[in-house]
Amino acid sequence: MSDTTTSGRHARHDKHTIAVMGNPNTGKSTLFSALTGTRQKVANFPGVTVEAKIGTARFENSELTVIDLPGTYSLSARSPDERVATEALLGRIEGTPKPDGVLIVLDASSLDRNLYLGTQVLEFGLPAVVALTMMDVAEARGITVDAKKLSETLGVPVVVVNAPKGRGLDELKSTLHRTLHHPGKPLELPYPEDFTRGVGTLHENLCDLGVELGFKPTRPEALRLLVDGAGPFFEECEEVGGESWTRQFFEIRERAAGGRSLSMVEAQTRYGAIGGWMRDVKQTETREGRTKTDVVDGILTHKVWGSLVFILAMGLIFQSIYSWSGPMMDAIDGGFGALGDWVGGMLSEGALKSLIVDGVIPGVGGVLIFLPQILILFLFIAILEDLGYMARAAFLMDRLMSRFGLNGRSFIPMLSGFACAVPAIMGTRVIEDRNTRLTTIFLAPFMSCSARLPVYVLFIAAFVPETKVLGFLELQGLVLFAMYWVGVLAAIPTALVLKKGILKSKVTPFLLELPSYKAPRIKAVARTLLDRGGSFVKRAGTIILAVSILVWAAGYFPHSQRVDDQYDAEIATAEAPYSESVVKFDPETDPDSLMAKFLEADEAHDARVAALAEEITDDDALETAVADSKKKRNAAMAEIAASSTEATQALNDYVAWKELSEARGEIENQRAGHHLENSFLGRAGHLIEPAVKPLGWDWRIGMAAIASFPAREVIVATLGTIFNLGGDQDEESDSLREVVKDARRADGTPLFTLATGLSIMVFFALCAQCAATLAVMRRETNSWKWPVASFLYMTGLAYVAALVTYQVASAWGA
Amino acid sequence: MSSQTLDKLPIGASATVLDVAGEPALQQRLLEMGVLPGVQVSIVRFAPLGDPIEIKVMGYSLSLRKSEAAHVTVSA
Amino acid sequence: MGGMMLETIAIIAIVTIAAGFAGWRAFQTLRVAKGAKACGGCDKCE
Repeated sequence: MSDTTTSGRHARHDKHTIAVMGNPNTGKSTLFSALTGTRQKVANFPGVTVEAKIGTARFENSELTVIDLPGTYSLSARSPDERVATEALLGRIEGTPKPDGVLIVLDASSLDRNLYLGTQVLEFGLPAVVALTMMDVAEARGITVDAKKLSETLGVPVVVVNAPKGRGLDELKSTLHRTLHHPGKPLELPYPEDFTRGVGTLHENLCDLGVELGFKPTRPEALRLLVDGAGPFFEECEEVGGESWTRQFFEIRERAAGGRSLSMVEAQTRYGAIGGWMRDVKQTETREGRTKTDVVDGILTHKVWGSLVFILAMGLIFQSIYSWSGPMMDAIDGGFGALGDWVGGMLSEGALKSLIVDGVIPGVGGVLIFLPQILILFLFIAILEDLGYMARAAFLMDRLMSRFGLNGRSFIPMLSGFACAVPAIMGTRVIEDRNTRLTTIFLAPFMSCSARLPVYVLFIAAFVPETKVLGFLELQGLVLFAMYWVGVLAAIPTALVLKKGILKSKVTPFLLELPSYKAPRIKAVARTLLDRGGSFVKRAGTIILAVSILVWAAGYFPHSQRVDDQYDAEIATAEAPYSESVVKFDPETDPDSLMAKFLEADEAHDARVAALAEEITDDDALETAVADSKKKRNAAMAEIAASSTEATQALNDYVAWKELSEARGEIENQRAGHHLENSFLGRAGHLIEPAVKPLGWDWRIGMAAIASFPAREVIVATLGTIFNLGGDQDEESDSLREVVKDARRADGTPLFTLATGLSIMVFFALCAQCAATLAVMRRETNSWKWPVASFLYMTGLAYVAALVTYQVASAWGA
Repeated sequence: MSSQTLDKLPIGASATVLDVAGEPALQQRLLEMGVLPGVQVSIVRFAPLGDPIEIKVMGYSLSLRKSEAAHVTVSA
Repeated sequence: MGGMMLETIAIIAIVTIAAGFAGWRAFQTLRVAKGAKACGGCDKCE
């Protein structure tokens, strides 16, 4: 949006702006990326959610600002999205530079249909260049396009490009450069006389209205308004012109139509002209046999195989999220553990150390650990999208979706909902029907977004055993898959109620192009991954960091001295029976002492046991191995003790020290727990405990859930902070997963059981804990009614479902 | 020449479009996507649940519902 | 004692900055809700 403001510094150079327009699936985005490289950013159009990318292309001394408008099949302005393309073309969008020319991208393999939009754009009369893409695909289908003849016919330069291979780009840039210096000439099509007269009359009429409208409508806009007779521009005119204008408008329309429908007149004139041109421009050699896409589609949209592949593909994605991410997650986990230890060792005991070691590191680290899984999910979504499979998924799913008042078009926003509900809700703009759109908006947050993934992963890793079902399916992956279904299953009855009740919807058009399959572009996939990963990291570094600090502060203060004194006294009491050499012993400062040697032997044993537990799955075998290790340790210790009388004394001291350490650790844990319960967070938590108790939660989980109301992934950070503050850990480097497993209630029973874990996951699957989603919902529906309804409904549903889950699961003894 | 609607054609059948009706938004969309009188269309397949249909028109694949195809009259 | 003082000031500063940032983000989100900004409530679409 600020691109124009920076232009002043290079004012000496030639500077122009072009808009890129074309059908979806024409390779438009690839071309845009090839032209602008990495010099691009996303621009949002105020008021509507359509976004365009703005980038800069360089050619010799000149700089070209390129606006990539959303791909459309037509300029007919039935939806706000399509209207915005026209507005942008005319430079009427605030903050977006007015295009000096237009680059029309045409797919040679389906040139006729691509030219429909092409002729609409050319009528605007802007300087224009055509980029002809997909020549190779066309040739493979036996279609040859004569670019020179096409150029002569249309009266604009045509450049053949192959963006993935980088061919034709320089020629395209120099052609653009040349063309922008000459005014364009509007394309004229042989419309019937009545129609042309109608456009003229309406254009004059609109010019009279221009003052009130705030802009001077162009003739092509008058044409659009005449044919469409609906949409945002029509509503604008109706509002400004009043009833008399509307009456006049429909009179003009009636006269222009000449008995046929106006869209029929437009389509027949355009396609009639295009068909005539094609006889010279295009040669089609009928090829027997099926294209690759046909063959692939024979399987992917087959009655049996297609559905099977669809289910398998979805299953594979969730399995891979588990099986591929392990090593990366362990590395991140270990890294943050080490960082905590290192920083902890550098700082002296106190609030600042606690802030960093208990607040920031577990908070941010606890969220960042999910980066690998988010990357894997987006890798698959990006590949499927690039491949062209998403349109097939919509084709497969339309029948099912239409039963719930949705359509195949809702499928893509719903699928994006698995990444994030915000773009999903923004993506519903492609749905023309208001009620279908509202239903989709209301249902999108039920899809399990990537922010829920951390919650699932944490509790699944802690409570679901790492076993395989049927020999090859990971049980953990299966449970994750099931969690994704929870949202979907809740969405179905919700949709049915909406469809029958407040959002009764007539069936809306569902026309969808099934583009040919393409090999995924590595660069585009990599870019998506980089974007998604980058924004996730950014989020962890900004808002999650801030919330971690606040949660820490709420859990740390007021840090009462009285409590500290009480526990200091308890520690003094515990230390009283021991000799000074036992109380004062510190392996860190005294690493060469005899006592330290015993500790070493002991720790070696602990390390062996940990390694054995990883290796050996059989319980009996493990027990024998552990006993062996213990014998080894005892022998080592006995050997040291036998060396001198001092050593014998040191062994006694060491045993006493170990006992004391445990007692001290216990008191420190109590101290930390007491502080936490006394904190602002603790008091608030106890206040709400009665409400969350039936869900199997204690006050700490209740608090974490409340702290995560602005954004659900915060719960992971919050739990990390709460358990660190509460001293519920043996050593600082323990991962949150382990901490969760070891957490105890006040009475010493484990805090988290499988039933509690499931209840938390179900709650988070269904709750509306995302301020960004509610905000976007407010903007998209232009009313607080929908976000408020969504929040109340989802939170209520989440509570009830978590309650039922816990009660049923505990009844089964989970 | 007898006529019928597009949704009634079997898989593999080809026909010429005679007329496109339906409420304005649907009619306009169909026309824009190249389904207009005089154009050859062929039925490629039905989705696994029987609806929508995939047709070939103007050299590309288009998916539309049976209820929408019912507004398209084709030569038999 | 000076160390204690410094630590307290640092903590107050950090917590204030965090609260300010969170508040600013909340304000941004509200602006999105009112339509003043097309996006910004969630970094994922930026």
